[in-house]
Amino acid sequence: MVQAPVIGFCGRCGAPFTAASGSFCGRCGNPVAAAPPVASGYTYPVAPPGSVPAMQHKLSRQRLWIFGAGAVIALVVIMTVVVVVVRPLGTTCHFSCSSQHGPPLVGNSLYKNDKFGYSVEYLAASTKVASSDANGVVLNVGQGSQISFTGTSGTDVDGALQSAFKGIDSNTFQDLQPVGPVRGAEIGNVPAKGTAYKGNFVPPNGGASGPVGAIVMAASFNNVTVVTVMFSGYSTDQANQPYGLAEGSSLDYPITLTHFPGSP
Amino acid sequence: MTQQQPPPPSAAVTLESCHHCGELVPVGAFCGHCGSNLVDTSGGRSRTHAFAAAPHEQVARPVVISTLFPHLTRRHAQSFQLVLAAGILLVVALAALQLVAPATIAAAVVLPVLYLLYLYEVEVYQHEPVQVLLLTVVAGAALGVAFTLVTGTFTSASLNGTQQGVLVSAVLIPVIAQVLMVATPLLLLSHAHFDETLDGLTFGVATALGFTMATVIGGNWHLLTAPLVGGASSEDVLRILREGVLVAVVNASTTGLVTAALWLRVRRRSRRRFVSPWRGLQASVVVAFAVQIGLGLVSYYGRSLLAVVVAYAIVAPLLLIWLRVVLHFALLEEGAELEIGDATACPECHRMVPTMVFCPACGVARSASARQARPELPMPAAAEAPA
Repeated sequence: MVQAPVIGFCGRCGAPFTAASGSFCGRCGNPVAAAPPVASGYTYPVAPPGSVPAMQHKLSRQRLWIFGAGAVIALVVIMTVVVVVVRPLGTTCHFSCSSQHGPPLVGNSLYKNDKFGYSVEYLAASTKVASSDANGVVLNVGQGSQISFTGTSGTDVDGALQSAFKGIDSNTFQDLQPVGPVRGAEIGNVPAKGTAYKGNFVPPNGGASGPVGAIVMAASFNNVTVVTVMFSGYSTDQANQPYGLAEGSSLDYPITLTHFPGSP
Repeated sequence: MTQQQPPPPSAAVTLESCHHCGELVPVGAFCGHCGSNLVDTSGGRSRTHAFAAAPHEQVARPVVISTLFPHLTRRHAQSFQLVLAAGILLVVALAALQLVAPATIAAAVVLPVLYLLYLYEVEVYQHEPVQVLLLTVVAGAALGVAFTLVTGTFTSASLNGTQQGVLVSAVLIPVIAQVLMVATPLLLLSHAHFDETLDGLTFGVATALGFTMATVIGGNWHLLTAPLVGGASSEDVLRILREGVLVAVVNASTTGLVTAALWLRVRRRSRRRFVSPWRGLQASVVVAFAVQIGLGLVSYYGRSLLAVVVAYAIVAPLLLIWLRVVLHFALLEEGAELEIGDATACPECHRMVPTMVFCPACGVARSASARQARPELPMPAAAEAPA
């Protein structure tokens, strides 16, 4: 059985109607089909604002500005004070404090830089050489941490630190903010200077970004300057992970076992 | 100060027959019963030139305030819009002053603070402000904190960024976030007083803004605790604006979309005049989760922050328009039996019009005005009788 197409619905009861339904809804009798001309010439008077309930605002424009701006500014100030107070001040412990995991015993490998004569020992089981060139080496450590060693001739530690920091890929390591100096920094047994940073890691080949900790350190001995740049996932466990580097202990190993040419 | 008196209502209301719903309604530009445009006889049924919550705006216009704050009158909406603009300027100014932490905090709190003021202004919560605020803004913020702690725990240890993979980072985490944002407003769904579509929208938006505020602050905690004055770059400004404004608008829109559609479906206030699978609950859920997953994929594969921000800046207005379409037709759907009440001042245009579901003069939906400012509709005789 072929049904006539529905051309509309009754506004009162919702029953569908067709061209054959006539001028009235078959269910409730509501006129549905006629499309009378719209009446014109009507007018509705405008009520004075004072008599319109919707104009009785709880928040006048002035109060809205006061409360809005006041609340935002108060929250910004209070929360800024809170984050400043709870900010980790860094540990008094040397960055090369002994690892909680105990000293590694086996599996040492050695990177030897022929150009500047320094060398770096690392654990082959957990550390892989990512790349190397005449000046140094990049090591992938643990579950995704990274450390690089770069040698230069001379004693300009500050210059080496600056150029190393400038060399960090800002697309990958974004928003690096200094946390503070690395207290008691050493590379090998040589006193060093260094700064810790926090920022965001954005994987160059795609992937989830996340907070990252970074440290740039440099030391000079026997007219050779070695600068290290290390990155690791950021950890809030400041007590056990100095400067927030989640794998700081693993990174500490090759730093501690760096040998400058002619060093004891 | 003497209270101004409204002009007396006209003695008799001239009626005409609406050529869309067929009812006899007061003359005017809009049908007070179905909201259709009576001037344009060709395509006036859906009246897309006049958004039902803000008839002075087209439906296809991405305006944050009139979409997410629909109960505001036109004049008050302008004030909220100015405050929002000032808040965004404050964020940019703080970032320009190298104050990354305060800028991030300001970006996170601007929209939630404005929404709390909106809730206070229009009293969507009626007589239960504590319960509503606990189940929306506060619950959203608490879930946001928990979400950040849990996801941060298993995503922060890796530097290679591929430990979680695309399935977790771009699909699972956004889906979980969206589910959490929708969860607590559901507890208000069965409440007898909160039966309008815009109630659902408001609760969803409030929860999403609380959730987003917490995730922005929690997710950037490592930057907030960095030195107060640091070298803020243009990337910092982009990142802050993306997380504080664009993500907030996207989350508010997707959550409001789902809750509004859910309210319309469950509370059964629909007159079934504009039923369409494209605007129903299932479609809204699909759109909301698809947007979250899509933006998750963009964030995962995006090579630069700028590209991700551009993606958000494109999606957010489109999502706002889609939400307005759903709200517009939901407001046209909602209604009761035909009743023509006494003449009262329309909250939007201030004309003394017969009280109906829609203002015959400007077409604003009655349910889009603040409850305490809205004239009562006459109750049908059948509805007054006890069941």
